[in-house]
Amino acid sequence: MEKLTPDDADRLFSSTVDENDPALGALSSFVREAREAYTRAPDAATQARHLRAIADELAARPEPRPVRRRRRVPIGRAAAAALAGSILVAGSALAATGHLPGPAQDAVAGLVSHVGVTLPTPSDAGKARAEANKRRAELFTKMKKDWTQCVEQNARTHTEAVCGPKPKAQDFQPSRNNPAGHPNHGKGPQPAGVGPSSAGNNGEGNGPGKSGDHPTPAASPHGNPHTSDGTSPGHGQGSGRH
Amino acid sequence: MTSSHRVVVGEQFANVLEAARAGADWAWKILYESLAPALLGYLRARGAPDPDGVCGDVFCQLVRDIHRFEGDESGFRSWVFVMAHHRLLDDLRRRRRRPESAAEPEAFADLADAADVEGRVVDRRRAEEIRAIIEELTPPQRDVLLLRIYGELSVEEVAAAIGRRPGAVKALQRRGLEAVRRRLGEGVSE
Repeated sequence: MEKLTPDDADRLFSSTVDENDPALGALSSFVREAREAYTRAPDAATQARHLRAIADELAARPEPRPVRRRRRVPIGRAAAAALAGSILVAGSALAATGHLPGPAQDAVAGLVSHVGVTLPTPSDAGKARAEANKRRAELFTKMKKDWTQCVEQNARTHTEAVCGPKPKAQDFQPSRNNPAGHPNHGKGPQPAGVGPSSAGNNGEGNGPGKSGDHPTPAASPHGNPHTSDGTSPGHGQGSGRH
Repeated sequence: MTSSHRVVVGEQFANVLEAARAGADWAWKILYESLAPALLGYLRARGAPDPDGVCGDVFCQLVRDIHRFEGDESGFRSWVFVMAHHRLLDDLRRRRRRPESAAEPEAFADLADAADVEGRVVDRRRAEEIRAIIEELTPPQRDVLLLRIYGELSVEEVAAAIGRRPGAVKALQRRGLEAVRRRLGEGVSE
């Protein structure tokens, strides 16, 4: 008995085998007879019952509604878009302020220069920083100088107040640093420990200046801003200079 | 060659399918007439206790699910037979859980009139012999051969229907056919 191949089976089931075929004829007859024995249309009553059931099922079927499809944005795509937006905004801010790394700043500045936007290049940013440092240094120097002068003036004033130096005429004349003869020159609050009650403040070696370089409002005949306890109100401007 | 028992809708199948989806009675009648005979043949040969009932259930399920089908007439036929196969298994399972009074399977009851319907000349004895041969097959062999004979499913379609690989289906098919051939040879020798 020959072994059946898949092709033989396909031929058998598609009814393409001659029933006189010595190898497959019997099987071909079996397939045909099996079909004929059981395959037949249902009787009229059964068919009518089935068609009625189909009609009932159709009637019970819900009306097809127009499908409203929500447009879904994939999560990955939305996240990528958000990330790209964030990078763009942050990058623009860094580029506008000249804080991108040198090559990137150069590239972005060159790119946007074509559309008329000027961004600082790395060299521009360096210059700007140097300028800013210079301004800060100058301001610091000036303020330190003012403060030193202020300390000198106050120290001298209190030294003279404690020691009671002999008034001199030239002490009442305005000087370059004190045109109004004001002791504190409005540079800030009086440093602590320089008042008349400060111990050891005897006017000797308490500051670079010497008595007589500046007028001493405590002894000024025009009246002076010293209070009765020897402190100075400072004209209320000093704290604003720092 | 197309087997004589098979009713084919043909080129109009796409239009019929579309009309059936829309709920046209005439389209359902065409689908029913093209499929019901082979479907009932499969169910009878498979020994369904109530082939007409299962057939009706299959068409009702078709009405509900037809919007999900995409394909040609051959694919539709395969889809319907897979549905019928599963419906039959459900029916057999349910009957095992709740056994009813033993009754002569409708397949054999109908065979008494088979010779009078559509001019077929198959006597009851021959039909019983065929049925006896089918019953001797293992259940998987029976599933494969009957789906191929009545549903005309391909090996791949049968594999999908019974949840096996195509290679396994080919092996079951070969063993089943060889068993039938041996049985037929014994019958001849007798």
